[in-house]
Amino acid sequence: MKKTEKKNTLSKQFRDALFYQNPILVQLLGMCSTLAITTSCSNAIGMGAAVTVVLTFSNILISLLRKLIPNQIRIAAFIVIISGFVTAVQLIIKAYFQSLDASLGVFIPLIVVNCIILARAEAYASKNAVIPSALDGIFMGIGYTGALLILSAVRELAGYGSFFGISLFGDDFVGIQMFVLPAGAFILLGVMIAIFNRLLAAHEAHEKKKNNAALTTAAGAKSSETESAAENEIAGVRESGGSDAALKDACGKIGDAVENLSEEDGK
Amino acid sequence: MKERSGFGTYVRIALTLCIITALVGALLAGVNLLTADRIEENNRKAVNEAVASIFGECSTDEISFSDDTGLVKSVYAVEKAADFAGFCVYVSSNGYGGAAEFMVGIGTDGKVSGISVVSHSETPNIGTKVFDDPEYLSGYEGLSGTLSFGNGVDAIAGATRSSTALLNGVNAALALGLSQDDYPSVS
Repeated sequence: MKKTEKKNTLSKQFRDALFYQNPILVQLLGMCSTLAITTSCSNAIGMGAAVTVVLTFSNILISLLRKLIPNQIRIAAFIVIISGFVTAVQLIIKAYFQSLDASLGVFIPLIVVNCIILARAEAYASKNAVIPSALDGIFMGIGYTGALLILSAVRELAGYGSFFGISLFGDDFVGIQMFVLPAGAFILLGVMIAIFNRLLAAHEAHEKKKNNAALTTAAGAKSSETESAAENEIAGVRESGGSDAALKDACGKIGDAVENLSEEDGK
Repeated sequence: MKERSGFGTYVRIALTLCIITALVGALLAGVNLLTADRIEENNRKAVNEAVASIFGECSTDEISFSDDTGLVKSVYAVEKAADFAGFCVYVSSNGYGGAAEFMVGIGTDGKVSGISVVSHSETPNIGTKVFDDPEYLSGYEGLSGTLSFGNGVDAIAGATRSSTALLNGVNAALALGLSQDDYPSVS
């Protein structure tokens, strides 16, 4: 029982990082480097990997030190730790991945001020244990890389007619210059965010409908049972450390259930 | 938790930050120790490759220089089969997208013998017409003196800043006035 619960929070953390709290498409963090480096898929993978490594290690260290760092200097301490890891990653890239160094250039040192990393340090790693923080780093990194990859795949395809540097349409292909330039990146990113959030909203509405339907059938049985089930749901949300929004959601469901019940009573 | 106040708090804050900084410093020192040799070797390899693409197989010797433009990063004397073959001037010139770094080869006659681009960050499909096009780069070969557009070389339309970056770099290399006398081991 406990094991499945753990698995559930893990998969929830994963889904949150990838979709519901995607660092680029939902949280809108780290836009500068996103727009600049997504000209090719290999750039996206390189940058995504660099950010994931820095994010994971800084999350681990910050989580380890979270009780030792006085509140007043936490931001300074976070930045020192983050910039340390970024410099280490930069040295390693310079030493072992030269072509990546040439194409990513100044954007590696700029990871220091990438909001994703400070945001995760402040919002998550400084409040949670080491292993969840490490997982948070990895998952958020994957979410970041995924968004970069989609954006850069479209830009590379439209701008150069290639995918991961492999030309798809032959030498006669003339790319759309705008997609290579930042202007195209802005427009594409906007469209992507719009589509992504539309899909998320549709998915959420679908889930809600499903839950409501389940509650209504339950309401048909016994009113007391339904209420206790709904209360259980709130308790479940509380236990799993759910956000206020989730709690409200659950409360709303109870409200709906009660409404359904009274309607039926009226009949 | 109740915050302690007074002098002790400040000492604790300062100490914590000191320890964290020292910790990160130690980490970086370690990484640097592991990568420094390799990074230097990579840089040397990049320089050697650029020289080799102009002069073919050769050996280089870094020499001192005096430069007024601030664009020249280093100068190498080039020896080919134990004979003096010319100079390579490593310049860093600002284009549209930041510094473009390239090697300007200067033959024994004091004329440009070739240009090899090491790195640049010019706009794809615009500035790259200057720095990624061997045909355009070879247009500089055989020129000497102070160059300007319309006088042996042309700018690429739409990529004026990139073209100018290249021109400035080549001019800086030529302005060094390198001659065989600057190469000490040739008598």
